Amino acid sequence: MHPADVARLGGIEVTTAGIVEGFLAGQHRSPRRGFSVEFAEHRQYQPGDEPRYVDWKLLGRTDRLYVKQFEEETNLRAMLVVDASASMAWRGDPARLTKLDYATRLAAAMALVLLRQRDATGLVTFADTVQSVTPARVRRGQWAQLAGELGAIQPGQGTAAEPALRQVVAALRRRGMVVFCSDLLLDRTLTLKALKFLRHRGHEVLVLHIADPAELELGGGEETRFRDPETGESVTLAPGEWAGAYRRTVDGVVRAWGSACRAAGMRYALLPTDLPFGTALSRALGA
Amino acid sequence: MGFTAPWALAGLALAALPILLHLVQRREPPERAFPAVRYLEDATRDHRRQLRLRHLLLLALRTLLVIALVLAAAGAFVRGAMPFGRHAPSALVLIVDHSASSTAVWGGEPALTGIQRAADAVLARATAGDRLWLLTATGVPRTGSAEELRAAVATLEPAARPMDLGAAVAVARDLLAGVDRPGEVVVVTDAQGSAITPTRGEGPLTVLRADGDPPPNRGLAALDAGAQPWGGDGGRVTATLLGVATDPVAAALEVDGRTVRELLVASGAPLTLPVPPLTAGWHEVRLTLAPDEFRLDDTARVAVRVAPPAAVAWTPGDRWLDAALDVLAADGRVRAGAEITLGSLGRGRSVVVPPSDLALLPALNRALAGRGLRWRYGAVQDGAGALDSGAVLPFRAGVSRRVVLESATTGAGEVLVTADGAPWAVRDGDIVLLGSRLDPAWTELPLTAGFVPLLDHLLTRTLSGDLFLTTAVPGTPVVLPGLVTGVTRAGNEVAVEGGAPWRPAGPGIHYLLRGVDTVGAITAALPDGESDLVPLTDAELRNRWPGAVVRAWDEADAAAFGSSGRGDLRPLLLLLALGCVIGESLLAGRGRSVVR
Repeated sequence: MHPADVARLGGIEVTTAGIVEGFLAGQHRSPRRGFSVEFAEHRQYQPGDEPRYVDWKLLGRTDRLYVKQFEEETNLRAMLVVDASASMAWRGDPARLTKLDYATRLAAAMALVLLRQRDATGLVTFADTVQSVTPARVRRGQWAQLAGELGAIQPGQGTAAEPALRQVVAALRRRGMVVFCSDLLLDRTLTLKALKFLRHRGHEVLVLHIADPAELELGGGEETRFRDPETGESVTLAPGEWAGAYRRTVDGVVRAWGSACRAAGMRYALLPTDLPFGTALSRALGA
Repeated sequence: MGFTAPWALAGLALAALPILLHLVQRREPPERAFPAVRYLEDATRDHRRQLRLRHLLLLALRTLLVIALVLAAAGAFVRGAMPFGRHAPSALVLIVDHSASSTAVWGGEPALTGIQRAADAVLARATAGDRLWLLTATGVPRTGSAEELRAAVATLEPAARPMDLGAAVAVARDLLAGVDRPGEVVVVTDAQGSAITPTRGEGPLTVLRADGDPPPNRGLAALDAGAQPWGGDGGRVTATLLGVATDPVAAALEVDGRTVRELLVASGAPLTLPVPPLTAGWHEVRLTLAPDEFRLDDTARVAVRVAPPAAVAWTPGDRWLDAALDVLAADGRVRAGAEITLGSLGRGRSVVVPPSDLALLPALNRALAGRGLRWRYGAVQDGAGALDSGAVLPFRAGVSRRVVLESATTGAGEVLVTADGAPWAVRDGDIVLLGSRLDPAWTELPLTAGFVPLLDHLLTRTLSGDLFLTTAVPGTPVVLPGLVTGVTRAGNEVAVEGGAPWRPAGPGIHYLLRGVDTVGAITAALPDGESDLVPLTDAELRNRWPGAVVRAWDEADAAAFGSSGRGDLRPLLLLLALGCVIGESLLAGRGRSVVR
């Protein structure tokens, strides 16, 4: 299904489930199926509950009967890092999703996939500052929280990926997976440095390069002043004269990101916003 | 720099078009949000300066293209030497001297061939933008394209007549005065001195002349047959050898195509040649030299009228008439007879003088009226007067007494001689009336040397059939006698109007006809100066035509269209425009290839 069609169906919560169901239909079960349990929450004791799950310490302190509820612990903790800068709120065609819309839907879908695999999943959104941090968990309602966070993202102004990635370092104390969703219109050196640091910490890093097709192919003929919505910088030129050079530059950027990521052991995928989500998920999750 | 169509310079305003478009394009372009500006900057960083330079070059090329096209449309030219292959649109009058002298053979070929070659070289340089005229011996300028005029030049025949090149140049300059472009006159000639006459007007004039020495030439001036008609005992013709002094040259005297004498003639004094007795009628006497390089003056002709002596009756005893008639009789001009009555009214042709007894005038008038004469004698006038000179009487003579000649009808007969403007001798039909008796008491005429020729004219020409004998230059008009109805030459007769001008087409004898009778002849011959083939020197030529540029025939291709001193800039401008177009295409294409 085309992303634009998906977007017309409804909000993230509604549409993501469809996306993921379709995606998972052809997938194997997660190889990272948990082998241990971890405390998740308390609830009041009810007749019939196994006494061994009664939290005796809590009974001693509060004089109330609570039973422990445990979650299956995974060996993967994933953190979705979504760029919410102003450039992400752009689209070259009104019929298409903005890069941010595309990224949030894609992140939501990935979160749902991961959570269904019982992988703890968190979220960091950033623009010129870190906007929100949702720790990685696998509890029930996590996906709804993440979807809510993603749906509530407001585009910021600039892009400051490096602080956001530092937040990830703090959030993922153990080895995990970092999914970095961005249009990569940022300081590549700093960002790569931060990503490499994550990789150095043993995290699996997936860089999803969200790009509007109009950013990949420069269209139009008349001379136009192109203004960067983030920085306000502008360039005036006739697109018809520069389409080729622009294409080569973009190809170079894509190749540079790909090479840098591969060299650092990271995965990189270019995802145009007209790419169907299923295909995008396949590229993102290495299917 | 000048322009043949300066109004087209208004198009220079179009040169601002590329600049305006450039400025319009430089106005604030539409703005578009585009996050990947950094990619654009990266893409254009290396080529932006090159692109700006390319835009400036394109602007310059397009502006230059417009300017070049406008200047070409305005007919730009430069003054001075012609550094370019083409000349500015010009007007040119080409005068081709194909006069009789052009038949002379110079260096193995007729001068006309060289003249045609030079003229063709001139016309070959003409372009479609030129206005051209060809002026030949006809005197009528002919306009046309270069190809048409080249064809006309190639088919030119010798005109067998002289040309007045000075007059032709004047006509040419008048033509050029009415054109809106620079003009020049080019004369292609053998530079014969007699043709280079003074001219008028101003303007560029180029003379392409023969280069080298002319062929030696001797020719004949027109033959003089003396007083005519001749009697039956023959006569004499006088010839004069013209041209450079040479050894005696063989000649043949022919009468009606039959050689009657062969001789050697030399330049110097006129040569008088006797002609044997001829039968009554018209004869063509011709003297022909051995041929040389210029044939048209090697033959001289004259028409000779042979008639028997007039038979004259007069009353002996008048000492003046007796003496004069004795002279005429001795010369074979008259004889005693009854055909013409001299001194009184006879039965036939008569020369009537007033009677010595003036009382007889009324009777004489009645007799004249009875003969149908429209003239009569009037009152007697005494007093000093003078006879006016004319064709019959080539000098003036005093008159002391005369009888007025009156005519009842205006324009009747022919007034032969006047005295102080009044008729003194008239002819009406076959009667001639004289106003005075041929006596010194009436007129001093009998005492003058012209008395005998006057009687000879009256008796042998006026009353024996007047002859119209003259010479003419081919192509020049001759006023024909009033009663002439036709002209014949070599058996070809053409009807003419008596009293009107007529032009003999070429050398030869043209007989004048009145009905079926031959009443005269026009001997058409080249003027004597045409035999002198020596050309003017360049200095002499420039002296006659100040400001003329003199070149040789083989310099025709370089000389033509150069006198106006203007070089056509249009080919260069069009070449420049083409270069701009090519440059613009290459630059635009290269620019596109650079950024792709």
